[in-house]
Amino acid sequence: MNVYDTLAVLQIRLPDARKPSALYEPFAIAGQLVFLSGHTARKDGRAWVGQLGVNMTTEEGQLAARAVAIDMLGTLQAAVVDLNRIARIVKLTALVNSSPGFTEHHLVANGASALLGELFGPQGGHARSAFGVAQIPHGACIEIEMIAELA
Amino acid sequence: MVVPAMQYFNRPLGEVHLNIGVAGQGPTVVLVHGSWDDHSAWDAVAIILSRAWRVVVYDRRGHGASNVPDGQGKISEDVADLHGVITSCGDGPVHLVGHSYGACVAMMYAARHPDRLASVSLHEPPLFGVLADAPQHAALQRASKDAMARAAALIAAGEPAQGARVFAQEVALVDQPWEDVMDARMRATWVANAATWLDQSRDPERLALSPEMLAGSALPVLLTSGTASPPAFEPGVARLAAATRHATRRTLAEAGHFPQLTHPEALASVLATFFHSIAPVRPAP
Repeated sequence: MNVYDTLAVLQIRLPDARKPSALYEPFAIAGQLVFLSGHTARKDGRAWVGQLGVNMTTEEGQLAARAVAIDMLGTLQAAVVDLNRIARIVKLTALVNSSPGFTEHHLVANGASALLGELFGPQGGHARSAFGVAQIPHGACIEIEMIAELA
Repeated sequence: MVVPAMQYFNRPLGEVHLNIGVAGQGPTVVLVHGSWDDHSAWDAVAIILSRAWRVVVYDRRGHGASNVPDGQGKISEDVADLHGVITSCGDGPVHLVGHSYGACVAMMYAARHPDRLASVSLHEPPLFGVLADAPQHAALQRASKDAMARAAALIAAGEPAQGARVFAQEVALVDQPWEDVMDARMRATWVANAATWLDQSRDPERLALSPEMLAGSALPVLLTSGTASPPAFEPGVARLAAATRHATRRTLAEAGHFPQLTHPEALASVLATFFHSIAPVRPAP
């Protein structure tokens, strides 16, 4: 199935590649693997600020994670030109800006994982880590990095 | 996404005037077209790559809007022209990409001027000479030699359109009507460039191209092939891959000898990821 058809059905428009905010590249390709740098959540062009367990619910966190996945796909497209060349999503690492008592980081990260599954089908399934952190650059509520494999 | 328009200019380089097009910003990528066609064969690929690279295309001498001096042409003149294009338009080491005969030119350039390049990518250079080395390729060699001889005879007899058709159908394509792969404008370009192909086919120098040419090269080399290409190309590409130290091979599913026309996204994607995978050379501080 064509990834771009699914994106159109979901009415998702991919952004351009994320510009790095410090001394790193937005992605690096080694052999058949594409490594995306951590993408922090953004909303309306600015950092999506918040902390789970303090001023954001798990459901809001999931929306933020989904938004990060869309941004990552924009960067991935810049790296590979044609998203149909992605053989599979290999791994996600999700960092959730959260209070010490918050324990639903894994459910927050599902917001990104579910979208990747919708777009890539079985090839969208991936290994994943999700954990809580004390803070994220610009105060963003979530940061995710991704590894994908090329066909 | 903004796709910058291509800017064209005509540059005198010695005895020729070359029609050159430049689009986009970033590290430079130079695309070399093959026999019969001109720079416009790269249009779709150039649009995609120009999102992240500065793409340079040009008409090889005797093709498109570039002129051709009198006399028997030689592949070394094409290499010298390419050097002119790269020295005048390149900004640091460039990624060089060649299609078919343009891949032969790119190969020879990479062997002579590796210091000018960041990488070289070749789609199916016609190294038909290797067919003579293996008995199992004898029929392939006979068929391609015979078709090229008939195409040459037709052009020499004042029938360039028929010559172009014979070459397209019997050398470059497999069981696919010429009209399905190239639009009327591109087919007309082929017919217009027929005399240049005839001249090129008489160049004794072109046969000196060895698949071992890049054996000692330190350059990253990408070799692409289509799964639906005529079988005469594969033995040469396989020899080249085996002989080249830093060769990466990529196969384009369902594409043939003209992926830049039929599968531009797939070809651009393979090129883009290859360029991205080469560690950038940082200038000394």
